[in-house]
Amino acid sequence: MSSPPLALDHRPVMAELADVFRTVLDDPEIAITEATCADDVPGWDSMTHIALVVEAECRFGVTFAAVELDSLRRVGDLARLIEVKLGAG
Amino acid sequence: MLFNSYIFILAFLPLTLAGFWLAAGLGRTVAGCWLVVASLLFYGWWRPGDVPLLVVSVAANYAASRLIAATAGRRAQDWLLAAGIAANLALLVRFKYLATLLGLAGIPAATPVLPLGISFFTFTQIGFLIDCRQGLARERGWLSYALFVTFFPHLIAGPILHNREIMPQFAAATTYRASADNVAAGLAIFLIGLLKKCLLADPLAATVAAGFAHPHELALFGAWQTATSYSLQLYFDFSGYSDMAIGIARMFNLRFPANFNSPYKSQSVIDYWQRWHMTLTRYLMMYLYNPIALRVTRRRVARGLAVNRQGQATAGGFAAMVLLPIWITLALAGVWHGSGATFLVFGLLHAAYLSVNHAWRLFCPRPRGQGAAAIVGRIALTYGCVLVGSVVFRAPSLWSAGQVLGGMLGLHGVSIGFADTKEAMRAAALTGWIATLYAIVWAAPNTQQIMRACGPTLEAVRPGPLPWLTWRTTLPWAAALGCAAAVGLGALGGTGEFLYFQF
Repeated sequence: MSSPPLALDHRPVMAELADVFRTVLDDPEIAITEATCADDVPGWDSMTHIALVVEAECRFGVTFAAVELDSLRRVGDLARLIEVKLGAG
Repeated sequence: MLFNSYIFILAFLPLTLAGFWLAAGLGRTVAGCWLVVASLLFYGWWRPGDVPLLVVSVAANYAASRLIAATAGRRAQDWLLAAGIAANLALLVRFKYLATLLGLAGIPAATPVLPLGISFFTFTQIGFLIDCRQGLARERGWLSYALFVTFFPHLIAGPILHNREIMPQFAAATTYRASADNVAAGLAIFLIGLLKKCLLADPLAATVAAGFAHPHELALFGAWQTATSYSLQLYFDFSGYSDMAIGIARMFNLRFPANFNSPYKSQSVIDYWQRWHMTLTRYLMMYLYNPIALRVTRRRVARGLAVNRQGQATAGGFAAMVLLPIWITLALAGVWHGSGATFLVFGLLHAAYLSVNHAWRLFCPRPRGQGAAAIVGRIALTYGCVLVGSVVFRAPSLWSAGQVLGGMLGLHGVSIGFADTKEAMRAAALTGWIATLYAIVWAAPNTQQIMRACGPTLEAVRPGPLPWLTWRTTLPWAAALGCAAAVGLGALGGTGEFLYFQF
C-alpha cells in the first residue's frame, strides 16, 4: 500500500538515521533522504533491514513489532514510525 | 467453482456483481452480507461439505481476535494468541499432515480430502490474530472481517491478503458505489488472466503429466521439454489465476496486492522471491523470517556483538543472522505446500540458493555489471536454479525428481529419435510453443505493466517493455479485449482446475 505524504518534519530523526545507515552498512559516504528506499542503497536487503531496525531501536530507545517491518519501505516510513513511538512514549 | 468455467463467467460473476450494487442501495451491511453469502456459495459449489468448516473457522477466529483485543496488556493475551495459533495449526495438521506423520510413525492412516483453500484461509487468520495482539489490526468489524477472509476472489488460492490493506477498503463507502471504470479495468485484467490460463498454461498440461508419469524414460530432449513445460505451465497458471482474482476484486471496487512481477526476469534468487507468489513471501517475512531475525539480532546486540556488515561477515554472524532465519523460513515455506518430502527438499534447495546469494553479496561486494551479457547471464543462472527447484516441486517423489533431473543431464541418453514423422512434427510444434512462451515471459510486459494506466494493484508499477501495449479505454482496446473474451470462452472446454488449488 502506498505511503502517505511525507509532510512531517523529520530532520532530527533523519540525522540520527543517516548515522544508523552508515554504521550498519559500514559506509561513511551513504546519504539518505525520506524518499530513499532499498533500491537506492546497495546492500539494503532483507537481512540488513533487520540490522537497521535493531540499530535504530538502540539509538532511539524504541521497540518495533516484527509485523511493522514490512511497511517500512522508505527511510521516511521508518522516521515516521520512530516519531510516533517517541511521541507515544 | 472455477474462475475458468461457464457457470462462473456467465452466471455467478454477473449476478453477484449486479446483486452487490442492488444490495448497496439498501446499505453497506446488506451489500457486505450479500458478498459473504455469494462467497460461501462459490466456495461450496464443488464440495458443499467444506462450508461448515470455513464458517466455524471464521467465527472462531473472529471471537478469538475480540478476546485478544479485549485482554490487551494482560498476560492472558499471550495465552489467547498462542491458543488461537495452535487451534489453526491443529486444523491444518489434521487435514494436511497427520496421515504423513502417522505414516512415519508406522501407523497407517487414510489421507483425508483437503478442504479447498485451507492453507490460505488459515494463514490469513493467524496473521490477523498476531496483528490484534500487536495492536495493529485497527479495523475489527465482524462484517469487514468475514469479507476479509471469505471474499471469493482470493478465498481458495490467494493472493494472501493482509487485513491492513483490505479491511479499510471493505469499510469505505466508495467501495459500495457502482463504477464503470473499475468494471472495465477489472474485466480487462480478468481476461488477461483467463488467456494466460486457457491459452498458455493448459496446453502444456498433457506434456507435463506424461513426462512426470515416466520420468526414467526421459532422454535429454524429453526431460528438458518436461521441465520447461512445467515451469511455464506453473507460471502462467498461477499468475493467470492471480490476475483473474485481482480483476474480479477490481470489478467490486477493491484493489488487491500484486502476486507476480515477472519472476523469471529476476537477476538473483533473492530477487526471484520478491517477484514470485509475492503475497506468500510477504506473509512469511512478516510472521516468520522477521520475528526470528529480530530476535537473533537483538540477542547479538545484547551480547555486545556487531550486527553491521562486518558483524554479518563473520562466521557466527552469518550463521545466526542469515542462515538460521532463511533455512527455518524456507523449510516451512516448502512444507506449507504439502507434506511430501519433495516440498521440504524444494524449500531447502531454495534456502541453499538464498544462502549462496547472500554470501556472494556479503563476501564479494562489487557493483553488478550492467552490460547485456551480464544481465542475461544473471537471469539465466537464476532461472536455471528456479527450474531445478520447480522439477522437485512438481515431481510426485524425490526419485521422480532425480530421474527428470538426471534426464536433463543426459543420463538417460541424448539421442533425439522419433518413432514417425507425426511424432517429430508434434515435438517440433511443442518446442516452437515453448520458445514462444519464453519470448512472452522475457520480452513482453506483465499484466500490471499492461494495465498500468488504471493502477491495477496496490503497489506502484514501473513501465515495462513495449510501451504501446498499455491498456486504454479506447475502441481498439475494446475490440481486442472482445476478441480475447471470445477466444478465452471458446477455450474453456479443455481447461482444468488451477494448480494451486491442491495447496
